[in-house]
Amino acid sequence: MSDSPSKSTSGTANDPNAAAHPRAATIFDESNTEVVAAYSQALAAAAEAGGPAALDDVLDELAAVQAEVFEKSPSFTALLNSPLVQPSEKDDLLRRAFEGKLSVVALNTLRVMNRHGRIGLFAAVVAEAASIRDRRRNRRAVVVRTAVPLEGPLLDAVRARLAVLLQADPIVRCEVDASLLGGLVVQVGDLVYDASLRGRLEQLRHRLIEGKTHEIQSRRDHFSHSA
Amino acid sequence: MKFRADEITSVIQREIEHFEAEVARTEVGLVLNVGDGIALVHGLSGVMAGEMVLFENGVRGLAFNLEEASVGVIILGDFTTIHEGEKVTATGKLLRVPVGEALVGRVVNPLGEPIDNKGPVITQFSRLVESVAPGIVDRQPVDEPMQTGIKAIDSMTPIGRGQRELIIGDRKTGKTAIAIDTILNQKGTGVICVYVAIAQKESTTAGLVDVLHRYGAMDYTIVVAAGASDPAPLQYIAPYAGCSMAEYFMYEKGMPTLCVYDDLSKQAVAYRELSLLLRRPPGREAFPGDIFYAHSRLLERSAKLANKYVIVPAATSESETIDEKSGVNGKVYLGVPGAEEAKHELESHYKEGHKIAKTTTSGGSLTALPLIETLEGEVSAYIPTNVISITDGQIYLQPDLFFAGVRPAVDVGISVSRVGGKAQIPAMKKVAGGLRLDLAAFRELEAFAQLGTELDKATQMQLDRGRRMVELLKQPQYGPLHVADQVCVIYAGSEGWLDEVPVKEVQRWESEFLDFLRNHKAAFRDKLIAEKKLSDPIVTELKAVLGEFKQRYKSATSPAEALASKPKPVPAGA
Repeated sequence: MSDSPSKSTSGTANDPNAAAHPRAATIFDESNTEVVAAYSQALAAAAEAGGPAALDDVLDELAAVQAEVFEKSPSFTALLNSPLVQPSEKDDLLRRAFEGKLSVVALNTLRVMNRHGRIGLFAAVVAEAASIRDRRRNRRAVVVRTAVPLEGPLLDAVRARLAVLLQADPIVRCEVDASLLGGLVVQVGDLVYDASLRGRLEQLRHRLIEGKTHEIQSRRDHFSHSA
Repeated sequence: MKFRADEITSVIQREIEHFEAEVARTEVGLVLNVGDGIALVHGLSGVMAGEMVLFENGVRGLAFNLEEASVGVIILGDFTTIHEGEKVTATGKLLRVPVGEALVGRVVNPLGEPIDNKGPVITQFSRLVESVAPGIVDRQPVDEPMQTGIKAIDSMTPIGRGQRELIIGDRKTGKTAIAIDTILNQKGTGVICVYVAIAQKESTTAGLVDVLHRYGAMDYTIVVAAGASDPAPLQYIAPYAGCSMAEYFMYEKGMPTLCVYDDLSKQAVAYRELSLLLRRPPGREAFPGDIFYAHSRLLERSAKLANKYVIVPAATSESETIDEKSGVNGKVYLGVPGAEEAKHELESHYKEGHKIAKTTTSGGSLTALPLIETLEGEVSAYIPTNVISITDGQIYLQPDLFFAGVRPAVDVGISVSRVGGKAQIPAMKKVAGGLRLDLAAFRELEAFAQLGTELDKATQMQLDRGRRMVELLKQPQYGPLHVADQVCVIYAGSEGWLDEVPVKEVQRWESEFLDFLRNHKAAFRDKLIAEKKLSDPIVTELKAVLGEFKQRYKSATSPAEALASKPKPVPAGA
């Protein structure tokens, strides 16, 4: 799983190939969820000790490290993951590369994970720590899919309505899917609320097939017998 | 077929006019990995165990393993078109199959979808694939016979309606033949049969459906087929689905049903496959820990349901539908204690013009005939011992007997039916009483006689009788016999009417006698069928019939040769 390109779901928003390739994303390596949970909780707690803003800063820094360093220079990542290199050498490397450029908590996170040989889980830990932060601040990630791009006051209205319905601060990510025809589909976590035109037509089709086949059949039989 | 298109249009138009779409709330997940009929899904956090889920390609799945961060789903269909990252939708429903009269005469897959090219199955009823077996109060003891039409079984290991009788034996010993003969014998008895083919060759199943068609058995039979090339999840759910289809007739119609699971060892193998793929811990022979439960919960669904009684006006005719609301006092009396209570109530409150009647939808039954294939006669393997302990008896088939020409190759010595004589008509109980003991004594003597010792006349007689009885219990495939015919034939054998017929001719004698009985003595046969017991007048008449036939019967060999054909002729006066 981990060897497939880490194409995150956010990339599908305006991707013209999104519909053609429904194979959206590999989500996570489910074999290490407990380790990831332990590291992310520790990271969130350590960063939050410096205040709520510090947590945001640390997570931003670490996300930047992931996006700008680890993803852009695979050879560096490979070096950090390599068992041939001594952890102490890697530690030196990390210190030289990031000391002074990252906050103490962020750098220590990298170093601790390196010392325990868990640097491979870095991306997952950062993502999980961000979701811990969102949960604590009552933020909910919401995906809104529409047939046409949602902009301006309409998007604000949707956001406001979601805030009331979810009793939380929605972090809205918009996706455009022309096949919806109209209306919108809202996904909060695993739950999908489908109020799209396509969904409604599908419902109608389903109801006609399921509910009325028998009726049509019996009427047809009735007519064929009486004829 | 004539029908008016505008009628259909009007139905659709009305539906569209009254259509109110609701915001559909569904739960989704994403496929993490997929293969071998198993998918691992991330998300679906609120899914139930056993809930049906839907993949993007329209294939259904069953949530099987609920883990902390993922859900293990078994895929009931083509898994090759499911890809990583695809959406999986929870349906909020447990797996159901279509049931009803529309399925009778059809060949369907374990999801109830037709595979016989005869158009869609149109029915408004469905049942859960996994349902709870009826409890103690809903059942009544098994006492009605389920005639297999096979002499060796109906006489010595009788099966009752609602019983679970295991058919066990090596490959190619005629296990399926017994099950098929039993289905053929249900013609005209009102029993609905379900034949579940699990992991069998499609050609075998096609041949079998053809046989059922030729003998007119498809009129009351449903065939549920999960072929050898179908994915393991389909093979695994096939018996449960077949059972649900039979349950409809048992619960809703009060009808007797027969379910053949051919065979459960293959189903166990399919379940082992998907359990191992789902990383459930393997146990003995690598079967999962709940393999016993998989079979026991299936077989426990076979039952003889308790009768329900209501008090109705005496004028109510027998043919009228009586349901639970037909009672004059609104009460329903359940089972044997209920019948007593109803009798008491009738006597104390409704003196005149009322009677007790059984509701037409109660008293249904589901008889199960599971099949188990053993390897080299090894009945102490894991799955055979499990199923032996679950069922109410077993019919052992022996390869040696089969190849010696004793077909059906039932080993009467170790085959048992724990329901026993209660599930026999009195006439059969009477003639079969000594049969098992006679045959056991014969086996013992036969071994002794092989030593070449000189035998006394009585022993020789017993040996000769035994040889003829063994010959008489042979029966060709697709030739089930009516119980009255069986009674007459076994009576003739055990009372010595065959003693003068050469052993080689016993089968010819039998078929000619049965022709004679059916064609010339139909009145007597009907009387026996109606009376069901060997009362003195019937016995007298039967003796007369046998005497008359004895006069008519012409042996192919002269009497002297007939004597010579005996293996060890005893000199006169010995």
